[in-house]
Amino acid sequence: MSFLRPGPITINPYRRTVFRIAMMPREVVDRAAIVGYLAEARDIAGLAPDSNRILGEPVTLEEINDAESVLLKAGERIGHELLAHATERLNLDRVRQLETDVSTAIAQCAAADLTARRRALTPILLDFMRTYLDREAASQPWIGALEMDLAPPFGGAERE
Amino acid sequence: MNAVTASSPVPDMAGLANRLRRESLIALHALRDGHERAKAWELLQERDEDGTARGPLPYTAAALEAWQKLRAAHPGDPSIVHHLAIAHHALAWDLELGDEPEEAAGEWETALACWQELAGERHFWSGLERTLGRCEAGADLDVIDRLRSNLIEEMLQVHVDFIRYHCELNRPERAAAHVGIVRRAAVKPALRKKLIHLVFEAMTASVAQAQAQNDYASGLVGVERFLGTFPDQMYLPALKMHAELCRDSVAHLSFRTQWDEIDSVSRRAEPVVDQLLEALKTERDPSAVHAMEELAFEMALRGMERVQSLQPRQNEEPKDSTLIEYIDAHEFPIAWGRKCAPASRTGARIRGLLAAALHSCAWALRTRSVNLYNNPNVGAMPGAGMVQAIQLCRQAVTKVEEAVQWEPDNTEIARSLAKFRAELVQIDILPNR
Repeated sequence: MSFLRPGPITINPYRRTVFRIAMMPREVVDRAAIVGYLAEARDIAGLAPDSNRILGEPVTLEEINDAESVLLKAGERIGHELLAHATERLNLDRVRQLETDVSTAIAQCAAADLTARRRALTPILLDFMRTYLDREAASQPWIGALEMDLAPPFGGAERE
Repeated sequence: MNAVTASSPVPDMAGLANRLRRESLIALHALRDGHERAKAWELLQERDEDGTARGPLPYTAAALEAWQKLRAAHPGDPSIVHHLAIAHHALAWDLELGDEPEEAAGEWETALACWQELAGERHFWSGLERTLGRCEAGADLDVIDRLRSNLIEEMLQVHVDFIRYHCELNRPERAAAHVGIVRRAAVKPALRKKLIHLVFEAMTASVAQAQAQNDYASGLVGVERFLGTFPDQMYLPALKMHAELCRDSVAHLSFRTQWDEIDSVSRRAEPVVDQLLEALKTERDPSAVHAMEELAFEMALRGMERVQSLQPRQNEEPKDSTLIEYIDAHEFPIAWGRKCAPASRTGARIRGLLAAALHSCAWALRTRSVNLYNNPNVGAMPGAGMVQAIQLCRQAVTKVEEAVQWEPDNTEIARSLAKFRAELVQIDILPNR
């Protein structure tokens, strides 16, 4: 059966994808993890079916079984990935690298007891931070507020 | 972090500041782009009553708008096209099944365009190959190639299924909308031919049931809708099916009490048979030829039955008006014979029936000719009857000559031809009475 037509034409395949039925992100590929998600979905379907509804209809054990037969076969699963959005997360690698570089630079300044030079550097970095923060909303929960907190001295009390 | 001692060289602060400024700008840009994508992702989330994200929906209006802005900013990014393909396709599906399905048209087309663009994006499919490899080490990557090469066919099959769905619910306008999508799709000829066949099957799925119930009219409606949708295709299976349905329809009609219906089916069948005959010139399908022969025979047979019912009594001198009606009735079977006999196979029944119809008509013309010959002053002018008698005799000869072409071994027709030719010679040279 086609990944695009797992059922009658009156069922929108994008609504009841195997990932949604299993309540599993599309990016999960580890077999043990997949089995775990399916087990949890089965528990919910059995004990609290109202907790996992799609368009008002609870996900059934039969649907979970069908999803399992797809998710555990890589060749079948891959077609179903076309129906599911890829997760989008902020890539903070560059920011973290920047943080590391700045921390290293500050440490070098501190080790060389070059307070005056550090004082010259700090405004540049503070200006960058202000520019960034001014353009973004104050609270960004989806990127993880904790991940955006920088270690002192920038997040701390030291200011010019 | 590296340990730095008092004896370490003093870092170049100006250089370091420049490098940090440069790196921070790069990081800021990367963060901003990713931030927009992450924001669009969040706009997709289905949330609990307490706001907890449960997972992404296929689309929301806000997310769709966000993805469209990202697409404009990053036109070459296939991952954004994928998000849009899912969103537009899912939205189209919901609209199609909703209260205003006509709103789905634009979304279907946009989704198909997205999927077609994605089918050509090598990086997107390379990404799926990597995912497949992570799911199963050593997995056969041909499955990705097949997925990619069959993608557009899969997408268009959805429309074929909707065509069938709407035909079953007797919603021809919705079926036509999906037929239009299939017609406009930019696909290779081989796939187009396959799709036309699938659409044909979808639109004529109810014909077999209609035939079983002798409801030929509704069966013909389905076939004619298909033929109207692809008028330039001359799709032989559809033309053949139309001929078969018309034949079956007429076979159940009485010439005596339902001649108007027979005539109506005949008018309905004629233009389609013309297309069938044209199509058979390039694709000689024996089953289609047989369908054409059988239809023509059934029509001509009904016509001849009516002719025989109008035949003047043997021992009475028929009125001229009766003869005229009798002669005119031959035109129906002769017309069907002339239309189809040339394309029929040797020995086909329609050939013999055409010959019989022509022969019968010739005798009727000859009878009228004799009557007029014996009453030459029946017309407005003296001797007009004689002139008309000669003309009718010539027509009789012409008809029998044509009959001989279709049944050259028929001795009765041959005798008639000799007789009529001799009579024509006689009356043509005899002085007016």
